Amino acid sequence: MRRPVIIGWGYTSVGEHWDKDIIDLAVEAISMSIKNIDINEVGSLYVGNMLSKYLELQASLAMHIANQLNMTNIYPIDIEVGEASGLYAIIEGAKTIMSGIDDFVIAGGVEKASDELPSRIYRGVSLSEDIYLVDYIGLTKLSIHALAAKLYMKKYGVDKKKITYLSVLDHENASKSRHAHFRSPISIEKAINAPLVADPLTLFDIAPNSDGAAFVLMTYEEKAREYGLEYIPILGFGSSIGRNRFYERSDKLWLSSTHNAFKYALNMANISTEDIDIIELHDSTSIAGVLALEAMEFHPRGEAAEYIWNGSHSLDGERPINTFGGLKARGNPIGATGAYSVVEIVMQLLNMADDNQVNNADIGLAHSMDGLGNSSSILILGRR
Amino acid sequence: MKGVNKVGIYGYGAYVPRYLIEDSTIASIWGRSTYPIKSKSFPSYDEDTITIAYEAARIAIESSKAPKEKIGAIYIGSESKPYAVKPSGTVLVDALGLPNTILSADYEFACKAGTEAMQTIAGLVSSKMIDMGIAIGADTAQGRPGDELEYTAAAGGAAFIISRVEEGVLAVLEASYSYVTDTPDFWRRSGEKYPRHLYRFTGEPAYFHHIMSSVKGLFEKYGYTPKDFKYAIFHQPNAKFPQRVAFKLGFNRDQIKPGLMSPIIGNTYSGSSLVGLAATLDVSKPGDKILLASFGSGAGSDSFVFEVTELIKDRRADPPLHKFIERMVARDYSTYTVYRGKIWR
Repeated sequence: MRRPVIIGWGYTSVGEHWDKDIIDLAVEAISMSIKNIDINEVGSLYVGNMLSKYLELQASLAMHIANQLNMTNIYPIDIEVGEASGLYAIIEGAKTIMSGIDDFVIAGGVEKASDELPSRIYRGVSLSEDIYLVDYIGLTKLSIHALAAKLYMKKYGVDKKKITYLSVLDHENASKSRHAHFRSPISIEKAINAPLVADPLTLFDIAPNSDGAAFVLMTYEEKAREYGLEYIPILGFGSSIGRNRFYERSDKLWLSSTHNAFKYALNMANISTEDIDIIELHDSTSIAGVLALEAMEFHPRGEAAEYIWNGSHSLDGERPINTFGGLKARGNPIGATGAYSVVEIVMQLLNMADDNQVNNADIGLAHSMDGLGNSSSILILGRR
Repeated sequence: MKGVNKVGIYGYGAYVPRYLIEDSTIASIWGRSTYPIKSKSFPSYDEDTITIAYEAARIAIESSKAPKEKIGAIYIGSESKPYAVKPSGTVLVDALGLPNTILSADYEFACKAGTEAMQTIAGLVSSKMIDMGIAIGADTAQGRPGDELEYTAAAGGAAFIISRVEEGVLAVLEASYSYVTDTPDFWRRSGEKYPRHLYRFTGEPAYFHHIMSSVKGLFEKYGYTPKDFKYAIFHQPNAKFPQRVAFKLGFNRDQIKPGLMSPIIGNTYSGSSLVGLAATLDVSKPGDKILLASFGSGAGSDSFVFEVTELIKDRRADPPLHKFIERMVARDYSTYTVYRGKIWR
């Protein structure tokens, strides 16, 4: 089977792009990703997006984007798996390359959250939850994270500030990143004392809803060599879903979908947990990031927050996470956020991360999920 | 913009109602822990935009002893006119005892209607169509209960008598500049009681873009820098925006301090930047240069450069704005809702 590799990547800065629409953002990122090939050699375009039909009243994004780019002979496919859409789009792209059907594929994600009223955005991000939970009980996406945080603190006796510290780390990393949404460091005191959003989560425990687009250009290893292009191989990927009704989960602090997706990806890559050098986590909230680290068994349960607090995952730590600021500070362009994680891993592995560069990283992992593990996807990249 | 004949401010006056409500009081009603300013003014049940405009204009005329017979225009900028159809200015003409051979109209441009009136009066006076005119910005702004605007929408106004320099002015208008685009960040449709807004869209692409464009345009065209100014006043929808735009443009805290009224009285909409100008004139000295930059949603910004003259010593508003602020008393949310017509018997 052909081994998929990433040969190009492009992204917009994450933030509020008041002067661009969703198509503009995607076109900007894709144009940046095209390197040394004719765009008409691309056979498929996979566009991850969660909310364009709800916020923008725009469907068929891939078709409209391909139109703008004059890509005529193309499969224009929109991918929607909630907040994880961007990473799923890239995995679909990798599958297409592996199948031998296309030699070149563009895949990634785009989201434009700033065009709508806050109330619509908040409702929008819960669209992938069971509507009976959201509209009849009021169990929105964020309230599930809040309940999990309360449970975690109670069960393991963890101080809230150690969970929230992931946001402080994110802001610290984002302060050196040119494409991050929030580039100022924050103190743990500021994060803890921020306005309460969903008890016990404060404003600084929760990722923003941002605008942004990130895409990668993929081919297979032999083709990249033939063209003399620098590339990063995709070693493995995996996906799994968890019990969609949070209250029906037997273990509410165990993200089984992340655990399973991780195991499948490790197996495909034929590596072990210890081989992972850097991780981009889907920390839509601080507690989500902590639980994901535990689900991937990087730490014993109840201890991940402590490890983050102690610096194990800082840029100069033993296994850096969220090297450009994660969802909290790089920003969270919802359906594009998983694609940013992939682009950031690629930049790290190619030593192109400037002030955020991690030393000696050979293998990186991008984690994305919808909700608190309703579905999870993992992509492992690296030189092996 | 510069007129053919130099004009300036002959006299001025400002007014804010006696009542204020603290933002903490509003926040406690709606269960919020944060709020944008300390307190805001609100009008009593017998006050409206016309009475506020009257008080400001009366103080301007009386403090400067302006010859009423020379006043040839009165324009009032507001987005809370008591009547949808019927001019507010006509009430002022007769209430103030101005000549009936006068131009009068109401202006609407969200929060910059008052400075729009000032631009127009300056043009009429500079062209010698009239000798003097009064530009007023006044509002009793509306905020939907529980909405972000309820924490800042306030009442107040300021009036400025504009004349040619040879009549004797307390501040010379050196130059002005305007910048307008179609940017729908905030609006109130006909028949609606409360305005709507687009949250963060009111910030960067609206308030900041327009004020920065207007002030930078003024600086580029006429060669000013922030160092040229003793004081600066920016439109004040809250406490944070005017300070942030000042710092972005290179002004410091001392320059904006005398004119920054929003933390105490709130956003007086069409009156906002003009009330700030009045408060700044209350403390300025001959030779001081003042920058004024308004903002109106929709959106646009007018900016002006004034230089204070010796006449400021004789023509300061009496009473000055701080006298009104010192007399303000806090009221509870119930009184506020009744006086603002949110409930009625």
